[in-house]
Amino acid sequence: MAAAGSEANQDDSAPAGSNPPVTTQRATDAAIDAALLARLQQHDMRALEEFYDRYSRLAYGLAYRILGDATAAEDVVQEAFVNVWRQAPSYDPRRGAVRTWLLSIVHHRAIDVVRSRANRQFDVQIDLVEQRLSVADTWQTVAGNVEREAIRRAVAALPAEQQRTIELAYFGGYSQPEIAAAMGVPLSTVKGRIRMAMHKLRALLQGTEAWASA
Amino acid sequence: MAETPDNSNHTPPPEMPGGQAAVLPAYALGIVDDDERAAVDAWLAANPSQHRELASFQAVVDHLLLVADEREPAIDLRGRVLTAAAGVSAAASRPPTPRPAPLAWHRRPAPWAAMAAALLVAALGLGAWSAVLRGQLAEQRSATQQLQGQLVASQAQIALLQAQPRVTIYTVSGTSDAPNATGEVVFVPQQQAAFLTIANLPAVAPDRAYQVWFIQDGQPVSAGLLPTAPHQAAARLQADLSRYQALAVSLEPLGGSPRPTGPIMVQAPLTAGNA
Repeated sequence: MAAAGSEANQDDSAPAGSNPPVTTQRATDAAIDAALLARLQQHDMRALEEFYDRYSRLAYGLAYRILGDATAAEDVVQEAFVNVWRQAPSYDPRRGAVRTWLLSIVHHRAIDVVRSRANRQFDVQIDLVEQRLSVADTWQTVAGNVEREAIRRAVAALPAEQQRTIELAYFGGYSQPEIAAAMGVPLSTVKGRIRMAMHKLRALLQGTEAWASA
Repeated sequence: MAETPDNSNHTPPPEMPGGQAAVLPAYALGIVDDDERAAVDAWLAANPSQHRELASFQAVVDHLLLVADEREPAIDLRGRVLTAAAGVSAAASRPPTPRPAPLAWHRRPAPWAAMAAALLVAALGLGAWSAVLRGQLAEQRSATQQLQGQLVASQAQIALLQAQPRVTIYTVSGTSDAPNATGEVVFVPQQQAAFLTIANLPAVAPDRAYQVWFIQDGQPVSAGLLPTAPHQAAARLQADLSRYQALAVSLEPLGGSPRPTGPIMVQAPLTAGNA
């Protein structure tokens, strides 16, 4: 876990390189993950234990966010870790960080479960990111996770309609026509909101420490 | 946004409304339909310089993976993951089962019999069968969780009975917030596992949960949520206790916390003086 305190006062607007402790921590995290992946590729069971201890809360949090059900989320997380274990020997590290790989598997599998459910409800509670920014202070202090703070601030900077569109698309598993029906707007409006939201997120994130670690 | 000039000599495929470049964000999110995906795939194949643009949106998507709050899964999930992974490894190391030799032509089942068998399988309604099994699995899972506490306590006893020469037992003591709580941590080094049993913990409110922590170099390390049953709480912890100085259980919000926020209910120094 990242050392608490060293990243507690990080400002995403600070120019890259002016916060050596954050850069050092991120390089350390990347090195740890690279070493873990190498050991996973050798089917080192202790590496899987460490990998689980390192990312189970993140993976479970993502699965629970999408599914809203503890048992289903646990099943998805279990599948994801076992998939990583099974496929590690053939995984090319150049494709991306092992954390992203794990979370992508969690996301895809959770969305599959959501889409397979009958009677999906369109009345999705908007998980407005603004409400979570106060919790993010705790995150920064505890986990020193500048990356998460950066993306949360970026999403919070989107207009509410774009936030909800991204929420429905990425965490709700809805197709663009379904989002249009849920929000009562034309399909072209949904496509436009997605396009604008993603362009704005990219602009907000580029140049931040979070983007540099991607 | 200006596009990088394309150096391909191929005739680009027909443009989608707004251009394929406009669809890249939705493509990166994975929410385009099959026709859109095929069109973008063809367009990217013809315009390889656009892969960089796509990669930038995929990086945004990678960051969206981090938006969700961390949550503590059930304490037994760790063991389930490791057990499943061990099963994968075991299956991979087994030699392949030799395929049976094909039947001689005069002993092969008549084509009509094979067709009837296929129809019978379809008639069984494999989908309905699967749904029934899922329901049964859910019921069994609930019953299993209720028995988990008793099972873990029994496992601790079994470990003792097996007379592992290096089993270490630490005493768990209640704090002022749980003065009647008592328990044990049985550490089995050969299994790299510890069995935690606690009696007389206060009943936990529906919006709260007990969370287990190891103390390592003065810092708390979560070991997961503690399943509870009436009058008893128990958990199997997959951990090397020699790495930690103490164990504690605190009362946290439902789902757990990344750091202890609530009162410490019980604690156990993992030292020789407490063994």
